[in-house]
Amino acid sequence: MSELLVVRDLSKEFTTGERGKTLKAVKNVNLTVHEGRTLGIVGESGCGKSTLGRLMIRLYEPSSGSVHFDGKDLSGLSKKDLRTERRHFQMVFQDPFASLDPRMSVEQLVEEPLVINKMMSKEERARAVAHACDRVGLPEDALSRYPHEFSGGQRQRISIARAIIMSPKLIVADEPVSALDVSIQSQVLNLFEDLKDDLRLTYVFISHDLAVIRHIADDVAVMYLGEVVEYGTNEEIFRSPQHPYTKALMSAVPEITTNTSTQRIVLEGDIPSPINPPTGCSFHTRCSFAMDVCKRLDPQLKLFPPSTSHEVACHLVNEVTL
Amino acid sequence: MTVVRELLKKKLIIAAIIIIALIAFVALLADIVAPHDPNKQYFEGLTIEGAPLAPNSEFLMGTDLLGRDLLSRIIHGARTSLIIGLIANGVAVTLGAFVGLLAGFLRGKTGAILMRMTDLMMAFPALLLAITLAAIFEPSLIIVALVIAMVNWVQVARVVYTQTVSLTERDFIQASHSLGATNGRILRRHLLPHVVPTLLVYGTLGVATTVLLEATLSFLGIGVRPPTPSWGNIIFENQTYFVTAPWLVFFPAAAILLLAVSFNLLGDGLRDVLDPTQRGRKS
Repeated sequence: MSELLVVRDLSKEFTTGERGKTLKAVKNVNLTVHEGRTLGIVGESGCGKSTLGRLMIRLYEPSSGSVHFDGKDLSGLSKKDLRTERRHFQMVFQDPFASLDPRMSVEQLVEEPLVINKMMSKEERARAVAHACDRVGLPEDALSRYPHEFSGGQRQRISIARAIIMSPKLIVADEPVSALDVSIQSQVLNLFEDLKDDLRLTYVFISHDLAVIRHIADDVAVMYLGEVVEYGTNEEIFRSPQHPYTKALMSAVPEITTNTSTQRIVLEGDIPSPINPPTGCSFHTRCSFAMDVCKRLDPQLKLFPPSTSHEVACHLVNEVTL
Repeated sequence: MTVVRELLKKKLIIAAIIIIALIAFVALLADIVAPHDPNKQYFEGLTIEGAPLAPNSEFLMGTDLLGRDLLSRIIHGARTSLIIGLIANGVAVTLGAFVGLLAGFLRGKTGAILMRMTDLMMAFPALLLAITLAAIFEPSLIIVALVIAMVNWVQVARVVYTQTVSLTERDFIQASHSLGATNGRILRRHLLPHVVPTLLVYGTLGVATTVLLEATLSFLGIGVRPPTPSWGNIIFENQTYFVTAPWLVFFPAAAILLLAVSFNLLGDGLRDVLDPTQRGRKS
């Protein structure tokens, strides 16, 4: 299993209106996306998961740290090389109403990646467009129509057709189903899964919805206030969450089969402002197990034995049984 | 071609196109169409007391203070007014769009410099600028048009800039970046089509004001030189006699109104036809 995308110490700060104050959207994130697997990134809104996704494909310039794609350092590439490299990683955006140019027909939209990269002749492009649209389940008469004539689910299919037409290696999907109805969500998720197998894709799947992540992800990273607080395989995260934040998230998911009465952990207060993050562990203000050390020291992601993949950033994990 | 076909579906727009074509035709063939020499002062064109004649069978729109045929003057004036309207507006909109798009897209230092330049132009009194420019260059029809364009492009640049800034934050522009689109392509294919409606509205609304601004310049002696007629300067020459000889103001004003309304209708129609979300809707 080769490493397709490697993120090292990635940070992104945005300047705010107030002088001297910065918003730390992403802090020292280390992640590896393995070829052929799906990395799910989950967290509350405002935790920096979308920023992380955009950093991964270099829509944003990182403040520090690096992103290596397929062995190449993306920040080391010239503007031109980066543009060419982009064909290998595509993005599907959250809001299909906003991410498609309303003044372009479906054909123009799906064809655009090929035109930009000056690939294929006109006839070949037309065939590729028809094939991609067919592959994502768009009706044949869709080509000459415009985005506003479609439902949200169909629009997201257009976005997906745009993403797969270049036969990329990696697709970063930023909340691709959260704007859709629940019934449509599962259809689109299934489409993502089918495409992954057929086209041998690798996904970074960003969502706030644990059910979606549980369904689609092989590996899961839980984010809180710009940091990854827990990382592991799907099973590790969902079977035995270790970080108090992950546990709280899990307990908030309504379950239908409740023969084991699970205690709901209700988090107090709001997510702190990333402009003024708490000292020490960023979660200590809302953690019911917080100790003195949590206020002083920022816990690092550490392997949680005996697993070789499960990592947790919490001072308590090895000391207290929660 | 679909654009043309869609345009022709609307009766009002056809009417507008016919009127504009008619005005253009008349302007082009003014020498043949006009019943009289526009600059000749007819002896029989004035009453015994020396007052202008009301519309009659010989002078269909009456005569002006010097006994010249008003209809012929309006026909010849169409040439001036149309050229001024088209060139001045065309240049103003093109320049404004270019500066606005570029500044809004690039932002940073380049954008700031471009917009401060625009602000500077905006703060400068328009008429003073026009007078200065007209004084530097030998007044001619083209120069007058360019002077008017120089005064008018700033508003367009401002509006386009604001629109571009908000557009560049939209997801579909980000999506194009993520596909590896060059800046040129994003400007041309994604930003320009979205500001075209604004440009059309500005360009067509500007026709009437431009024609009148030309008249103001003529009035101050820096526009079209008399006796060359333009719709604006016919009004200005005769406005003091509005009560005793209302036709002298009524007919040229009606001509300006007709031209302006036609352009506005055409602009509105074009805007609707170019917008896929509006296409096919009845209006």
